[in-house]
Amino acid sequence: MSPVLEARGLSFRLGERQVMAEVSVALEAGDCAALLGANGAGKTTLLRALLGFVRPDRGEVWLDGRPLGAHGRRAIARRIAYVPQAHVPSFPYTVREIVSMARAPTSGWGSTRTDADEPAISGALDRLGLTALAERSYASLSGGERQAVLVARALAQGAQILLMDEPTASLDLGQQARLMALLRDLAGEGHAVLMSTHQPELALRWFNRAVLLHDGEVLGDGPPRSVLTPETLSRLYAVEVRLVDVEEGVFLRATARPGRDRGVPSGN
Amino acid sequence: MSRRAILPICLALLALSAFAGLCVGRYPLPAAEVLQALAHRLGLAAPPADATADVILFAERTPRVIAAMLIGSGLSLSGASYQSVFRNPLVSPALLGVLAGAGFGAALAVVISAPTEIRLALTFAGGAAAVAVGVGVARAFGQGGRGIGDPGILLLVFGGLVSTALFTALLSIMKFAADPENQLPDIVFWLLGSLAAVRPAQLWLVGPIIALGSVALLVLSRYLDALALSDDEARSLGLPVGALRIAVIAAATVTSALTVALAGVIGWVGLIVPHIARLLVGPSHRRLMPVAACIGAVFMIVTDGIARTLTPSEIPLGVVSDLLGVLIFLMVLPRIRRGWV
Amino acid sequence: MFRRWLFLVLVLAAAPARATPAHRVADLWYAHNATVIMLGAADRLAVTTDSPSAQPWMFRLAPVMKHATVVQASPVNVEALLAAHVDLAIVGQPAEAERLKSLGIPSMACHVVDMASLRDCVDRTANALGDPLAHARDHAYDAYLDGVAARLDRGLKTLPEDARPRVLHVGSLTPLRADGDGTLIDDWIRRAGGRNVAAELHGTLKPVSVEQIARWKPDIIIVGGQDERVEADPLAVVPALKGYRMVRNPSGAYQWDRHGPEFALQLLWTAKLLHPDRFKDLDMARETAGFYRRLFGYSMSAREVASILGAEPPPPR
Repeated sequence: MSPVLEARGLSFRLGERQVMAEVSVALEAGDCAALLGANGAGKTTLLRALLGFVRPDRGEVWLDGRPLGAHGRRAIARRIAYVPQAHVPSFPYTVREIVSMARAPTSGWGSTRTDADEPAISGALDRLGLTALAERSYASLSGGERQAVLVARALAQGAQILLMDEPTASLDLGQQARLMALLRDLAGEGHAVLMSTHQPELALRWFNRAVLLHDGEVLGDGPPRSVLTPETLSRLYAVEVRLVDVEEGVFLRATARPGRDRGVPSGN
Repeated sequence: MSRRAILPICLALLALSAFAGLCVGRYPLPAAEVLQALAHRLGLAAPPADATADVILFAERTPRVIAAMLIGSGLSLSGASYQSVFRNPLVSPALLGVLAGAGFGAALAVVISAPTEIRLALTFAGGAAAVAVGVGVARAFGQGGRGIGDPGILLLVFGGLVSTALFTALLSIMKFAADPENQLPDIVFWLLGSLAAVRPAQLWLVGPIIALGSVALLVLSRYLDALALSDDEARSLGLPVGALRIAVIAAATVTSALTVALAGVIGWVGLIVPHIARLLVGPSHRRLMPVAACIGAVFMIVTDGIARTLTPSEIPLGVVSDLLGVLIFLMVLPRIRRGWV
Repeated sequence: MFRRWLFLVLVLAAAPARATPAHRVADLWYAHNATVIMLGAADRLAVTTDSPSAQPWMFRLAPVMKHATVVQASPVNVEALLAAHVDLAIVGQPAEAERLKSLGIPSMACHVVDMASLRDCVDRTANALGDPLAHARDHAYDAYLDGVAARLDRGLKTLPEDARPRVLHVGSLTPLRADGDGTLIDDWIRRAGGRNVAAELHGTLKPVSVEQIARWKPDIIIVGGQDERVEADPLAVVPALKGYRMVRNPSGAYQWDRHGPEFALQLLWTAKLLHPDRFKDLDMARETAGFYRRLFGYSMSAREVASILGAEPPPPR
């Protein structure tokens, strides 16, 4: 299957530092991919490059077989939806108003709505369990609820590709599980999902693909079970990691050695 | 009350206050005579008994009411736009320095004894220059498009601070250089704001441009909802964020600078009216902007009516609008707070 | 009543008669410079607030004033005065005068709200200047003013109250400002047989709207100020108000209508303007020439007299 969204050999330099070097990642329909890496490894930079927010020093991003620059901004918005970390806004928009903004790339910014708008908005709210909160002020919701609203917005946008920046940060266990289940379903329905996260356990449990970024380079890319090994995880997070198989799945155990430990895996 | 009903009500209120504005003034003119004079102009009735009535109405009050409407709506739209672009409900059109710059331009015109047209041009140029300095400073010290955090907005505010300080200093120099007996009172009175000097000729020149700027802001307003959330979200929804910001700032600058050209420095309207409008119809700009424009126009008509009628001596417009604005703000503040985060 | 009391306070606060005449004078109150010139002390003015561009006639009558340093009226730069070795300063506010006195500069303040306080101001200035010429001019001025007052009394004795024309005095056109009650302007309007329509305002230079002026329905509007821009007449756009007459007020060493000693000429000029039939034998040209000759020591040409009365700047020599 041909990739819908592709990073080809992206390189970024920030001053003296090479932030990213020759990173290539190809996203396909049906992918439910986790983007893993330590802080500063380049996860956010990669996402922003895929969204077209920043231009790499070298390399290109391709969408639907053409360079990103060849698409119009609105066209890109119809193909790629972005879920940032939920923040506190300055004005009291309602949940419905926030989600409705997603219809703009398709229907324009005016007051006229096409027939597809209302079902898309209501459907997205419903799927995220937000129908009861639709007329509430977005700012008055909890962190987890706000994150859910942003996911609903991305859904309502009707784009095939979903790029998410650490959406689980403010979610409790239940909200997290529900979101992961949703993402897996969406991938099954033909979406391409790429989500950056700090939690390898999530990748092992819910995702069908894991991309590992370490110091601006791709350390591994493939099914989570094969890519997430004690060696790779220890290198990624600079701490000794052991994987323990249990009946229901895999349990990760991280041990920090006293003193500075740069993550040489033990022989266990 | 349904939110949809608000705009028609505001429009009706505007029409009512415009008529009321034509009926009040130091010269005694009963409403019936006002109606008759208006009808006479339309060829529907005989001329009113008092010949002065016709003149007072059309040469004095009408230009002032029209100017008040333009200024009130222009400043409110500019204020609402700035609040969105800068994602801060405490922002006013003065943020980037346009009012200080325009004030300086006007003062300069007085000191060099320039005729009216040059004075209007200098006021506008001063406002535009101040914003250019503000934006220029932000650009000079800003980072490129790597967009770490939000340096764009923070630096724009910083640039505006610098620009305001610079042009306020230049304005002070003008006050110092002005002839204390003739020019200085002119400048001071101007800075306090007044519609006493509005002439139809000026209105014809400046009015359409203010109207144009206001319309531009109304058209751009539909894009401001996404912009009010964050740059990234707006970009991901397909908006050209940088260009949009510049366009909004430009339209707001033109409109605000020209309001100074007409009536001196009027503060507070651009800050408080968007809040009142937001209380009535919510933050969505498609509904917010027209309502803000109406309320701003009504506010200014009422303010000017008070300024020119309360006492035999004209009270500076800025004084009345500031006092009235503070009063309204204090009354409305508790309800605004509930809407804030 | 209040005015009399204020007058008394100021008299007591005034500088006493001098042992020696003042040599270097700083006059920091615009109109008052005209008084100093009249009292023959123009050559001793070291510091002033008036400039040739603002008061062209002042510098025509007393060209020696070119040598004076022009400063801001307020705030007073005390060091500049001390550096200029000023031994008499005239300011507008009593508080300012006190401050200068405490710093070693003899000072006086004048507050002119009517004819009596104007006279008193001229007297005190003559005392402060201290030389014989000043005293002589002071006495001559007093006598002249008495004569003018008597003349007006005679001419207007039988004037019924409702025959007084409605007069509006506009101090400046931009911004449009009028002078009200409790001012020297109000005094000369009334003495010259007019009625100050702006009397409901108090004090000088109060901003008014055109509508308010229409409401007052003045018969005649006297425009003071130095506005060169004739097109700045905001009243010209209101054609129905053409029922009024608009006249420009003459200026000499200072604007006649404001607080200088040419108040005496202002009285005559206004009386002639408002009641020409009662003052048929009053020849303003002759009075003007005579005033400047006797009290300012300046021989005016016919052309200059015509320019002054026409509220024009001095003609080239």
